[in-house]
Amino acid sequence: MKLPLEWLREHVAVDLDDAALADRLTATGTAVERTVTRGIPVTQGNREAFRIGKVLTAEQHPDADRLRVLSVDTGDDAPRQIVCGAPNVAAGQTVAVALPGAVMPGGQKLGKAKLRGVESLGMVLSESELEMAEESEGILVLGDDLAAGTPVIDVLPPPGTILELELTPNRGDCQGIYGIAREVHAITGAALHDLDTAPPPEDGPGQVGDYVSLRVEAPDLCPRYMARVLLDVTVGPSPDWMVRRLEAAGMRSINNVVDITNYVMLLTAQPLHAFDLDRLAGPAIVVRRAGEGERIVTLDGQERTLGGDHLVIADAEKPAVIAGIFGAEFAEVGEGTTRVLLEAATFDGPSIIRTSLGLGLRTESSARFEKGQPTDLPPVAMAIACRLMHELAGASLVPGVLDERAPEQAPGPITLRHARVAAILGVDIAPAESAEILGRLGCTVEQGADAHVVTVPWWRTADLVREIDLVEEVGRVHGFDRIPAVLPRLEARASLSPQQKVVRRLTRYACDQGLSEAITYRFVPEADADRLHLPADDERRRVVRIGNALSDEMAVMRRSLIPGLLRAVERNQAHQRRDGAIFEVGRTYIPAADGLADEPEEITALLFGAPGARGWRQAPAEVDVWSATGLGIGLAASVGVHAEAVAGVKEPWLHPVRQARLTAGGIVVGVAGEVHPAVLKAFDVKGPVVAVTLRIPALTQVGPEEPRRYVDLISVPVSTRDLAVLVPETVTAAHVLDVAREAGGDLLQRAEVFDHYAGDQVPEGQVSLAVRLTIAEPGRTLTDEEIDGVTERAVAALRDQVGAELRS
Amino acid sequence: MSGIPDLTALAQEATAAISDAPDLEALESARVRFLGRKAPLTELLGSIGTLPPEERGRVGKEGNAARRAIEDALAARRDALEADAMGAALEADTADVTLPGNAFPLGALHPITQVALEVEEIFLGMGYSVADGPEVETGFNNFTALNTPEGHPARSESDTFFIEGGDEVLLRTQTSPVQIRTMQSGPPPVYVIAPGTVYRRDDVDATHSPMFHQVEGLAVDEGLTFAHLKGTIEYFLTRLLGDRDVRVIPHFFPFTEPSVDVSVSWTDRNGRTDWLEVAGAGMVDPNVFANVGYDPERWTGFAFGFGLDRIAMIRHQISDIRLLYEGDLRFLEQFS
Repeated sequence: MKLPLEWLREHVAVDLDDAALADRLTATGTAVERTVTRGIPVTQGNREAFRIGKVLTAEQHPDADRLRVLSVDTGDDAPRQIVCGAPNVAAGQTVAVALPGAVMPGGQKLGKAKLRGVESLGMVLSESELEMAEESEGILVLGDDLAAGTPVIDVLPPPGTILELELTPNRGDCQGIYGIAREVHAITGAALHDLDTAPPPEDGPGQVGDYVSLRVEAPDLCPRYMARVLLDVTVGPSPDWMVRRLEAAGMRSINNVVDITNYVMLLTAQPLHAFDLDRLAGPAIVVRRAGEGERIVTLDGQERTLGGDHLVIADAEKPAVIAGIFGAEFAEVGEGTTRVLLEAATFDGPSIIRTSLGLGLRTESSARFEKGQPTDLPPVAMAIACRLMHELAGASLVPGVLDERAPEQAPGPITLRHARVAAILGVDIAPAESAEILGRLGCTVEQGADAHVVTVPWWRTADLVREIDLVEEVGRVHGFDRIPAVLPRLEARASLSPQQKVVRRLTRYACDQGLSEAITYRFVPEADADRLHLPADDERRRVVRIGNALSDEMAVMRRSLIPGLLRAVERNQAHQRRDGAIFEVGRTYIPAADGLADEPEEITALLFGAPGARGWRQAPAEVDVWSATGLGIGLAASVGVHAEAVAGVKEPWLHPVRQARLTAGGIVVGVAGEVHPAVLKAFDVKGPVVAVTLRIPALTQVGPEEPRRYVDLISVPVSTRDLAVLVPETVTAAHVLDVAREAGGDLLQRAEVFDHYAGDQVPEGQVSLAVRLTIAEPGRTLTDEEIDGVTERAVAALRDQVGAELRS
Repeated sequence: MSGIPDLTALAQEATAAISDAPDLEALESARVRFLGRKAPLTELLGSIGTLPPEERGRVGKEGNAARRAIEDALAARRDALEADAMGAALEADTADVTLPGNAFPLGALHPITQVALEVEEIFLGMGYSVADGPEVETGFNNFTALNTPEGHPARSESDTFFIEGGDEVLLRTQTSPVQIRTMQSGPPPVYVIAPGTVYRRDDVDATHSPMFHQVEGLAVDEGLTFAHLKGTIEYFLTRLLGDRDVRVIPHFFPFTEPSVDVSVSWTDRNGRTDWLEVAGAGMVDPNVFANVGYDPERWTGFAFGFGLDRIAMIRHQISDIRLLYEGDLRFLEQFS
C-alpha cells in the first residue's frame, strides 16, 4: 500500500522526520518496503541538477533503432548531448532534464552514461521516473513558455514522500490512511485528529425509500449494506488537491464522483460504489447470489460468467456489480449522470477471496474486503463521501438511509493478566505501560492489580480477540528490540536416529569416492515407468498422483531416483560432459492405505563414461557392472553392512545379465548393474552408465553389526595357499568361495578370488579362477599337515561339487 | 724372523691410505693390503706363537689395537663413500614435482545438504533432536492444526499441490506440520528441528521453485519466553552466517503469536549493506497447543522456520534457484 506522508500528517501530528517515521513503522510491524519521493527530492544539489531544457535537434542513434541523440539547451553556454529512448521525443519540445549528480526519487544518483557508444550528459525525464505516475508512455512535455535552465523544482508540484507498506493480513484496519494514522498515534504517542464525519445538510426532497428499494437476500455474505441517494450531481473533474492525493496513492483520477469514492476508500479503508440511479431497473438494489451462468459486462468491457457462489449487487433485473470487486458498465456514473446511489457495504472476506480467485479479478476494493471489514465502518465512510459529494459535485442529499445489517454478537472484554505478559515476552512490562499502550491503540482499559480488563475498539475486533493478541500488541509497541536475548537452559539428550546416521555416512562416503550430490525434482512424468521398461503389472506403477500438477512433466511423485538422475546425466552429456559420477539421497513415495504415502528413502548413484581422476599417467576405466557392485558394497560397508553381490536378479531397467542384487544378512539392501541400453535410449543418454540403488530402511535394519570381538591372528603364523582352478563359466565366483569355505572349516579364515581369466590356454566354456586361502587358528600354531588338510579338503570339494580342475 | 714391524707407523700408514681411498674399489684394495691374509699385520698376529714368550703379550695387544683402528677407519670411510654414492644417485633421480600429483577424487555434497548439516550440528549441540515427517500430508496437519482455517487462500488449488483422490491430502507447503506430529507423539518438553523438502505451486523461474527446502524449529517447555526465542535465533544465525547484526521485527503468521520476521545485516557484491530476511518465527499460538492437547497455561514455546535454499543461495551468491535442481556437475562440483 502506498502511503503519502503529506496526507498522513494531516491526521496525526507526528514530529518524527520521514525516515525516522519509516523506521518506527517497520520496527513495530508495519513494514516499509520502499521510500520514494514523488517529484524531485529536496537535496542540496537538486535545484541545480533538474532543469528545463529545449530540444534543439533529435538525430537517430547510429547503433540503436530505438534511441535518439538529442542536443538540448539546458541554459548552459553550450547545448548538451543527451541520449533518449522515449518514442515521443522531438525537436522543439520543452522538457525536464536531470543532469549528472541529480538525486532521483528512489535515492539513486545519476551519473554520466554511455548508451551504445554515445555519451549522454543527462536524462530527459518521464512522469514515472519522477514517481509521478505508475507508468508513462514517454517523456514529460512541458509548456513552451518555460525558459531553458529554469529549475524544474519551481515548475512541478511540491515533492512528497511516499512509503510503500507491506501490511500483514491481520491488519485490515491499516488499509486506509486514517488507520495508519491511528497506528502512528499508538507507536509514537503523537496526537491523533478526529475524522470529520459531520453529515452534510439533507436538502434533497422526499425520503430515500421514495427513490429506490433495498433487499439483502444473502446476509451471510453481506453483513451490512448501506445506501443513500444524492440528487443534482454535477459530474466533472476533481480539484487538483484530490487528483494529487489519488495519484500519490497510486490511483488515477476519473471524475469527481468516482474520485470521491476512491478518495474515501483510501482514507478510511471502506470501499464505496456509486451507481447512476437512473440506469438501475426498478430502481432497486438486490444483494443476492448470482444465478449459475449469469453474465455481467464489467467496466473493462469484458463479459464474465458468474456462478452460484458469487455475490452480486443487482438491480431489479441483472447484476450491476460483482459485490465488493468490480462494477458493470451499464450502471456506472459518467457524463450526464445527475442522480447517484452511493453504496457502503461489508462483505464476507473468504467469499470475496474465492470470487476474486475464481474470476482472476483483484481490485483495490476486493483487496480491502478480503481481510474482512468491520460493520461499523460503512457509516463513517458514507458520511465523509456524502459531504464531499455536496462540496465537490454540488449534490443534494436525500434524507434517510437504506441500511440492512445482520445481527452480530458484540465481543466481550478481554482479561489481560500481567503475569501472562511476562510469561510470554520474558520481560516485565509495568501494568501502567501496558495500559498506556492499549489505550493508545484505542482500547478501553480497566486497570487491575493482577490483570487489566480490556475492551477493544470496533476497528480492531477482528484481530484482537484473545489475551495472547493483546500480549502481542503490548510487546510490539513496547519494542521487540528492547526484549533481551537469552539462551534457554535445556537438558541435552539429543542424538541422531539410526537412519539419520546412515544417511550421513552414505553421503559422506559417496563424496569421498568422488561422486557429487544432486537434488532432483521429486515430481516426475508418469511416463518414467514406461521409460524404465517396468512391466504393466509392476507394483512400482502405483504412484502418488498430483491433482493440480504444473505440467505432465511434474505429474506424479517418484517411485525411484533413477529417472531424475538419468535426466541429470542427459543434461551433463548435452554439455559435453562425457564422464561423471552423481548421486542423490531422497524419498520415494508409495501410496498408502490411509490415503497418505510411505516415503522410504534410497540412495542412488549413477556412474557414466570413465569417471574418476584423469591425470598425466592415470586413465580411469569405463564403468561396468563391477564398478557398480564395488561401489554398492563400499557404500554398504560405510554403514557397517557387509553386502554381497548375488547373481540372477531381473530388474527390467538394468542389463539382463550384468546386474546383481546386493544382500546382507539375508536381506536385499539394493541392486547394482549396467543400465539397460534401451532405457538409456529412452532417456536420450549415452552409455556406458551403471547404477547402484540402496534402500536406506534395509541398511538401517541390517545395521552396523555388534562390536567385533578381537581374534588373535597376531601372535600365530598365518599361512596362505593360492589355488588356480578351472571351472565351468556358469559357476559363479561366489559359489566357488562358498564351497571352499564350507569345506575348509574353522581353520580357513578367509577365501577370496584374486584373478579371473578366460581365453588362451583355457578350454572353451571354462574360466580360470585364482583363489587365495588364508589358514590359521587363533592362539595356536598349525602343523603343516593341518594346513595342507584344509587346502586338500577345499580342492576336493571344488572338484566334486563344481567340477573344478586344479591347474598345475 | 726379520723382527717386529713398527705397529704405530703401520696403523698411521693404513688410516691415511683408507681415508684417501676415492671409491669403494680403492677402499677394498686398501683393506686387502692392510688386513688381508697376506698383510703384514695379519701375518704378525698369526705368528705370535713363534715369538719369545716375553714379547707375545705386548705384540698381541698392540697388534690387535692396530687392527681395530684400521677396521674403524675402513667402516667410517665405507659409510662416507656410501652416503656420497647415495646422495649422488638421488641427485641424479630428478623429477618435476610441480606436475599434477596422483589425483584422489572428492565429490561434493549439494549446497543445500551442506547448509542442512551445519544447521543440524548447531542445534544438536544445543540439545535439539532432528525430527522428520512425511511430505504427503493431511490438510489438518499442514493447515488446520496450524491455525490456518479452511477457505484461507493458501489452501487453494492455485497455491498448494493436492494429491488426486485424497481428502485434502497435499504436498506439505511448509515443514511446520512436523511441529504438529512431534507434539502429538509425546508430551513436552520438546526441542526439535525438522529440515525437509516442501512444495508450493509456483512456476519455475530464477527465484521460484515448486520444490524447495526449509528447516523448522520448535521448543516447548515450562518458562520459555520470547527472550529465549530471540536468544536462540541470534545464536544460531551468528553461528551459521558469522558475526553480524540480527533484527527481529513484528510480523504475522497464523500459528505463532507474537510473530516476527528475522533479518540479518548483509553486504552485497556492490558493498551495500541492507537487512536480508532469513526467517520467520514466533511464540507458539495457544490454539496450536490446544490442537495437540498441550495445556497452554503450563507450557509455552517458540517456533521458527527458514529456507535452506535461500541461505545456500545467499552464502554462495547463487542468483538462479534452478541451478540447485538441475544436477549439472559443472555446478555441483564447485562445492566440494
